[in-house]
Amino acid sequence: MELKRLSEIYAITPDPEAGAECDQKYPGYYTHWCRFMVTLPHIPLDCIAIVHGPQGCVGNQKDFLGTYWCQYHGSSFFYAPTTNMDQTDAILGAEDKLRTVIKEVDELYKPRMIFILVTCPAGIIQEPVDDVARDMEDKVQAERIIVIKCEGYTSYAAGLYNIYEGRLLANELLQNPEKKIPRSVNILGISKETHYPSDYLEDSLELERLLNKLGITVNSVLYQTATVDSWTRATEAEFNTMVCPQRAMPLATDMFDRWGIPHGQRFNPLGVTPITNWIMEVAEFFEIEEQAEELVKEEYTRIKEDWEEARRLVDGKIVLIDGGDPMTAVGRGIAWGRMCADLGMRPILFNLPPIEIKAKIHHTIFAIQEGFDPEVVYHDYAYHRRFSPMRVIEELDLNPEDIGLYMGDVYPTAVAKEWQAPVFDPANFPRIVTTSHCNKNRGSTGRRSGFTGAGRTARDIINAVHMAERKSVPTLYGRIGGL
Amino acid sequence: MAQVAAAEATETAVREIAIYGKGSCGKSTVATNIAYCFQQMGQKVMLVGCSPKSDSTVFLLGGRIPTRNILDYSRSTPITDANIQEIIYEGARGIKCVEAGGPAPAEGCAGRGVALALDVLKRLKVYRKLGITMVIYDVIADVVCGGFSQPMRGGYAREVYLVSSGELMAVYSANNICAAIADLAQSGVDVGVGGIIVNERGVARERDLMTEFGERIGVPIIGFIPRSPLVQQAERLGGTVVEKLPRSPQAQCYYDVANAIAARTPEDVAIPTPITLPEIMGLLRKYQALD
Repeated sequence: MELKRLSEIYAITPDPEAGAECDQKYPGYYTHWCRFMVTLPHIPLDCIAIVHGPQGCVGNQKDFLGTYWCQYHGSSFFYAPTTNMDQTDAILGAEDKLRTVIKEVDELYKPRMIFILVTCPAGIIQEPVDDVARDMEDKVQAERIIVIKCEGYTSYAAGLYNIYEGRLLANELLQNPEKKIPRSVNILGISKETHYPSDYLEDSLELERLLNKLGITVNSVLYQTATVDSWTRATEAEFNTMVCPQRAMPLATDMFDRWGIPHGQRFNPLGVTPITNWIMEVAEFFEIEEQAEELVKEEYTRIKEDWEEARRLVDGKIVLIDGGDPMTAVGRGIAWGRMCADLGMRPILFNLPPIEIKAKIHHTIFAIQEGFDPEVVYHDYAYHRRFSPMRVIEELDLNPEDIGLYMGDVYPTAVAKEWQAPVFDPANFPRIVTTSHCNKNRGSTGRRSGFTGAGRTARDIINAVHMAERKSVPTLYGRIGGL
Repeated sequence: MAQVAAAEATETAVREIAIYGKGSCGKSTVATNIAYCFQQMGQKVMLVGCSPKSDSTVFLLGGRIPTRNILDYSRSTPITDANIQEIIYEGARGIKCVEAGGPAPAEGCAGRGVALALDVLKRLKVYRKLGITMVIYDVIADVVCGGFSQPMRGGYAREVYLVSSGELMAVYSANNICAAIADLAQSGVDVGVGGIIVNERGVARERDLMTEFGERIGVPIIGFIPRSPLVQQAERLGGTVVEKLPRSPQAQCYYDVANAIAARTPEDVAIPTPITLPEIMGLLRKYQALD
């Protein structure tokens, strides 16, 4: 275990498409990312995705997004109708079942469009899904039936999945613009927001609030909360902004190539400097820099007290950022690190698989391009082999007193025998629970975007530091409940 | 315990053979005729059709394609001891006939279906319960995928008999099947080739050609079945040659093949040594079979 710069790890890690070499070095990587799994959540909200395959495919998807891995509130109740293929269907075919489900779904939900997602068993036996879709299109009220072939066995590097799904939906749904909407932008690469009414502020709403103050309208937010209309009108915007570059870049590139719509370079606006840069980039395009500077001042004033207090408490300290399961996306860990650097801290990221750093190419490249090249714990370990923060401290020979903050989730890696000072409990160690998907923190954006997110994070840091001053014994509540 | 031992003894006494060969080379004709011969010779025979067309057993069933097969039936009803009889037909001379079934043309996965169907028969110990002593698997076409290799790969039939004429593609296919068997044997599967049944197509010097081919790949020739219009005549009558035209010379050929197989034991199988396509071409040229 050693520390390397993000750029160095990127340079020495084999390409995810290297196949055997990659699998040998990071066993398990190819088992994790399934093309179907990544495609399903991106279906427009007013459409229905029929999963042509076993129920298990949807069950695993639900596990991944809802309960086990990502733990984000948006998909806790994620379901999709399936044809429930069983062994006999995998032999005799399930064309009739698919027709039945299409009819049922059309009658029950009256979706704008019906997507058919082809899973492994249906793909292996080459189910005539395209023929069924063509034939059924006249028999349903839905405008279109679109087939997406996303069998898991065709999966490849996770970073490229997102390119695939973005291009695919773009090809199907984007249209030539009938008009241009002046002073309008799209926000690309927003994902994992809830499909359901929520008490918590979405990141896109925070960004929209800021843009509206500049007189800029948000035309479309893509992908995960999009409707068909969001897609079809997307080309009417003047400029594309980005949140998650991995998802946004393929789409932004396509829209630039096909319709000449320019796009920004700033991403994941977590922290005061990143959100300022993000706003100023848009402002420069619309030539309203002065107005934007005023907005930034006004917004910063709102959170200044907390932000500067947080900086005073953690300036010069190390922040350990667990980039593990809750943050498989890489970009989030980087964005947290960048926010902490903005507070004067020295970010050290761990549990960030080298292969993901390589696969999530846009996250990595954009961060380095911005000049943010954090230290990352490097180790040739199996994909998703996680280390506890205690082990990281021990192996890197870090002084616990230098660590001002821990961002991550302790409980997945906590080992009882390792529970010795400093114990990663909010009662005696400053800690922010970064499973932001389930971080149902009222008054905060889900991923801490914008000034609202930065302000709330600063408040969380202040609380964490003060709570940790108690140096009391760990509590059950502390262990499982977080802040 | 004694009952279990007896049952196991009975089960091990079942002889299972698989018939492989190129599509339309006469596998089903050979399989149904020798099934009839074995039954006449005192065996209790079951013919298992491993084809989604469900047409292997048709001429043991009076020319009718069975309406129920394992896969179709299992789609609506789990197959158990209580209903397995529903899909086992009794054909000529009491031969038990069962078809694996499979998807409609251009749908599904027939290979996987073969594996599932055989698993049903094995799981329900059908052979033991019906007192079957000889099982013949009639496998569709070539070993095109893992599913169609299941009768030998899955530990069902140790003995494979190849049906082939002297035509180029039939020999090529037989050679391919030998390659598959050699691979399986090398990886520890207990399987080998019992012999080649030459179903003649009137190719020049066909018997010499096939005899040398057998020698080259290390597999004995079990018998020669001449091309004869009697096969079609018997089929028009809704049966096999040995049933409908029992005194014909053609029927005797099938009996000769059945006797040759009966004279062998499962231990007599050979692990073939397949040859290359240029070697096959050379062989056919040597006997003017390509002219």
